[in-house]
Amino acid sequence: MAAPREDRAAIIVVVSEAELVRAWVEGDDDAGRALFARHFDRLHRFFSSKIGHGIDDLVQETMLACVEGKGGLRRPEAFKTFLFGVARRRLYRKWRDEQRGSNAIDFGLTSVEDLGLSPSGVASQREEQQRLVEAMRRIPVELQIALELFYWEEMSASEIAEVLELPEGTVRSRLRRARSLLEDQLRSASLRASPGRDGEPPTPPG
Amino acid sequence: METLPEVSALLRRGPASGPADSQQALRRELVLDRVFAPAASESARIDRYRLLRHLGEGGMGSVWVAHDERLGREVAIKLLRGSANERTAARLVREAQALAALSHPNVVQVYGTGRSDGQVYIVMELIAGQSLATWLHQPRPWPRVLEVMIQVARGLAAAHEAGIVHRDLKPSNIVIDEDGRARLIDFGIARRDEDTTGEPPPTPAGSDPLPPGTPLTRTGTVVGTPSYMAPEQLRGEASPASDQFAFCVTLYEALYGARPFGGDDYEELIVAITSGPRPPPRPEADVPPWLHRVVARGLAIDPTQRWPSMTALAERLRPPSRRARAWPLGLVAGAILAASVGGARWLAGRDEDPCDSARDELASVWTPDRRQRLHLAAGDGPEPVAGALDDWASRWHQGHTRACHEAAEIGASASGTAELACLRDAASELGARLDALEQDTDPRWAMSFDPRALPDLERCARGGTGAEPGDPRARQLLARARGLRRAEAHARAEAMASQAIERAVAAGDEEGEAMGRLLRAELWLALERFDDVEPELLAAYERARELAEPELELDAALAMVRMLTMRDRFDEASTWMRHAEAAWERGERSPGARVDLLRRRALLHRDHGELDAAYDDAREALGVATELDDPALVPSIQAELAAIARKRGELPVALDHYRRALAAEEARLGPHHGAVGHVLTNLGATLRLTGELDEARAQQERALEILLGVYGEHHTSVADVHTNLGLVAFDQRDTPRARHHFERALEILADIHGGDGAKSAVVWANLGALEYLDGRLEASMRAGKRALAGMERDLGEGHPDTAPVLGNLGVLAFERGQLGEAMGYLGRARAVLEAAQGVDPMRFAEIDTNTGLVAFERGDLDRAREALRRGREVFAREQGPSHPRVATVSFDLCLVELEQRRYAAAAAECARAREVYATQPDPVGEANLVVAEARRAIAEGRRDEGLRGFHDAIAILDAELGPEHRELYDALVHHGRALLGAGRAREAGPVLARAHGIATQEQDDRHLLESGLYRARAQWEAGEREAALESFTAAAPLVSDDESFADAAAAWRARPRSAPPLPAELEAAPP
Repeated sequence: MAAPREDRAAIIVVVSEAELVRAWVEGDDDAGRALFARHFDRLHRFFSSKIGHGIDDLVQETMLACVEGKGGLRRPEAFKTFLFGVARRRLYRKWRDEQRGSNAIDFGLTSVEDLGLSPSGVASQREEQQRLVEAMRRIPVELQIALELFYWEEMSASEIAEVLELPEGTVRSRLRRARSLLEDQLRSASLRASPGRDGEPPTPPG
Repeated sequence: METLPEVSALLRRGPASGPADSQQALRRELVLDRVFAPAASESARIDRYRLLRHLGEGGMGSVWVAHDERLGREVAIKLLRGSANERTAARLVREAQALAALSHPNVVQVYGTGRSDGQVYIVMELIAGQSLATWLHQPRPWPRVLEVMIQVARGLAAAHEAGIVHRDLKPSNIVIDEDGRARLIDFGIARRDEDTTGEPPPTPAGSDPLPPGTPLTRTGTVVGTPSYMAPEQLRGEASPASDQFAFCVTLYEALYGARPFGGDDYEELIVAITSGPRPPPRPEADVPPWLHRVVARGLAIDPTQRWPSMTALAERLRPPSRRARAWPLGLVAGAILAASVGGARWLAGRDEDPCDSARDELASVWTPDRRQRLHLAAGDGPEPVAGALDDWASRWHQGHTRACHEAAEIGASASGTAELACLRDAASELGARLDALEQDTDPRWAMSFDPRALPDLERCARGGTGAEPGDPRARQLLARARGLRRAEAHARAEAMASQAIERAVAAGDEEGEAMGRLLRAELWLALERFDDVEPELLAAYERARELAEPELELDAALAMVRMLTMRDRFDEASTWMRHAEAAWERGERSPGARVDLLRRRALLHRDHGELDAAYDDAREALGVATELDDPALVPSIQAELAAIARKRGELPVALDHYRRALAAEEARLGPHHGAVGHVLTNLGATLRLTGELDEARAQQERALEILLGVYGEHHTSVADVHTNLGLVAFDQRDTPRARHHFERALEILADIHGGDGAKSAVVWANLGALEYLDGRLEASMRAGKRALAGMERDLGEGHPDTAPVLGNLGVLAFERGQLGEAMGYLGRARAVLEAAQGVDPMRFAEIDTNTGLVAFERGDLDRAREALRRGREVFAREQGPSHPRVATVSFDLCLVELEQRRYAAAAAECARAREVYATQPDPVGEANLVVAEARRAIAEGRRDEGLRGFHDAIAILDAELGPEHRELYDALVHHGRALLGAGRAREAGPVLARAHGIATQEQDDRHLLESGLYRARAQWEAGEREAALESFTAAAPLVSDDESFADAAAAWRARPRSAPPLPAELEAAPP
């Protein structure tokens, strides 16, 4: 008897990122891997503008914390908010651990530079960008994060509010304040004779 | 606010550090490894392989698990030691290449080899399993041991045939994977010298290899395992015979749990191997004597006294006890009683009827004893063979009783009439065939007894002789070969067919010869020996034409069609189909032949994507077959109907047909027949489409088991099941398992058909989707293109099967920002679907909505609208008007309409989106809707209402997105223009300045120009002439790029400084 020839198998149709998040939440590690691969650069950028070394470790800790706490992710669309919320908490915890003794750091007031940290991971060919980065490090961390999320990660005020665990209105006013502080910093930096270079902490203003 | 854009623009230009360099990519993979595979250690790299973890150290080097970045798969990689020497390195590479050329299910697949900084490495398949050494930690019964070692023997035989000697065979170099498949690993290629010269065992790790011919005793420590070495190998002569010796040491150890040669130290061991007594069987082990004899011969001191080859030895490992298994006499008595009722029917109720004694003719042939053996041999399934024989015997009995009484009435003797003679012949023919049956050892032989091919009793009733035309012996051999084919003992059927041909030629039975050739060609087809098939079929076809036997001609032509479709040679297949049709016209036009023709033609149509034509043929075939009441025909037609229904997306219909076909085939052929396997894999594929993944997987696994049993590993249908299993795994989001199955399918298909055809293309397409899921767009694109090329080569451009591949390529190109390319792929996908018949409408909808998005992105708004509308219509019809897809597409349409300033249409589209989104509020969407309504109000002269709308919408967007989000631009510009139109230039100024600020952040020249010019006008009309001229001067350099503003700008330029306000024309120049 002649066996019937096989039907040609079906062909898979590709899926979206929200689908990837869903798959990961449902326990698919490969989807998770693909998902975090997409967001790696983003996380890396987030930390590298604030700390000088151990960036990969923090990225990894953040991812692990996401994996452990993925039950807290309510909507797949809100994945980015979730991710940066975890990243921020990891960052703060690291700083608090390092600055033992001064248990309560107010990140709304303290800047990266105040913390005595000098990120070396950031290098720029463009002087203009270099200036920006240095200015950003001199404004309070929370404002720095708000600006980065708004401009670099294209998040809305309500999303940023979720990341920073602040009311939305507060975020909006802080964004305004951040911009004007940053402008001040840029202005005063351009007045200074020589901006700080890599590895050499910039002279404090005034 | 107005002072901020400088800072904002700086920020918008992005962070200082660029995106991932190659180092960053590596760091990313390492971090991901640690998050998702906590065991992985730090990483190193050889060429394109990233070392993931250390597997172990061997005599020849270290073995690692590595990730092949190009192919995206995990492999085993062996880094060979001592390969710094140029000559040695070159030889090692050469030998590894020889291994790579060898592909056998029981030999580890070597993918390739290479050198990196003088370091020679070999890349191999990664096997999840355990070594035989580990597997033997617990005692295994000898039949289990034999199952494994037969595979090892086959692998070793294949290596020897390829001219490769293993040289280091031992339990730790045999791996048994999770499916129980054994593979030989660690071929001893890292030796200093050629085959027959000095061959010391592997030396201690890190030390230099010994010079050739060094006696073992001089090394003092021995890392290798001399226990497995043949006497001549201990002297340095490695050969297939020494491999055989090592194999038998291993087999002995596996059977008896101890090595055959021992000794307290190394010297004693050498003495035992080279001159000691051969090991005896061990009484405590339950190993049969025949098996011990096989092992003992392989352990002979003199290589010439061993088995002539591993192939010969492997043959001997097939237990003679198969006969006992096939005919387990006297076992399971309870079951037999119940089963032999039918057989007893014609034995019961003897009386003194003179016709009775004649019945002994059959009674001595079809005995209850035989029936019982036959039944048991057929396994525990239904009993088609014994049942058919019972029926036949019953009809024989009735016919005989009637004929005998008729004979008595006319005064003839009980054996006198032609009919009775015919019946007597029929009984003895059956007897001869049952005798042949019992001499056979293969249990499946029992299934080969084709009940439809029993001697024809009706011919006896018509007074015929029962004899067939042609040479009786040749025909008998043919019948037997057909029986064997039915039992799927293809190789033996082939031998039998060859005998039949020989006999037919000798006896001058030309028809018999043609039939034999046809049969043999069909057998080769089943075995996928494609090269032999074509000339044999041509010969059969031509002989049939010479003999003017259209029936035979038809069969040969149909077999040719089948072969050609299997090889994806569809054009030639169509030509041969026309030959077949012509033969049918010339012949007896028998219904059976008609069914064969229709069935084959339906399949051909289906392959061409002509589903309506396929359906018509299959329906007609089913009608004829049902009338014929032939159980062999109906199931395969049902399977064809199912396949057509599946292609059309009618899954419940397909499932129903497949289930019926399955039940019928199981009843007819038993549960282990290949035909059952074929139906199962198709059923499984359909179940997958309905989302019943667990059941789909179970059916596929059953199919795989059956088809492996029937055809072995290297067969297209086995590859197809792997593909189907891969798809199920994909749906279950088990990416590694999916990848494993897809790669397995690709390997098999490449072996049989070459890697570039339509069959492999399907798998490449799926692998491409897998890469996409893993975020490897580049690799996904490559796989997709390879799939497309393969399909277009074999199926022709525009074949329906290319549509999903084109669609995927379109999405991929879109994701990579290649909009033109994306549009091209999607357009082709749609054209292909349009040309096909019976396409699932949802496939159109997917293509259309994707096309709409790409067109929108490219600014081709008319096309975007058209495509999106078409897609939405289908979604709404197929999935209901409140499906989320309807909402997203409606929203996209709303944006398209807004973009073209068709306000009423936009409002309607947004309203439709809003209806669906009623449960999920979307403020930005709402705001856009308000903007749309405001624009419409302005256009219709309801100015106050419009201005209020803009104000509200901007407030919403402000709150939702922040004051400078780019989404605000449109609302601001429209608001400003409306204010200008109302003569409120002083209010318009700041609004337009804000829009201009956003355009500055975005560095969008078009927006900069538009907002710049409107802002200039607002300033002019507010009496701020200097500021207006400044604004215009800033915008003017951009003007030349954009025709829509060119006239307005020219007018500005031509105007003297003291001229009246900006002409109104500017208002009428929207982008």
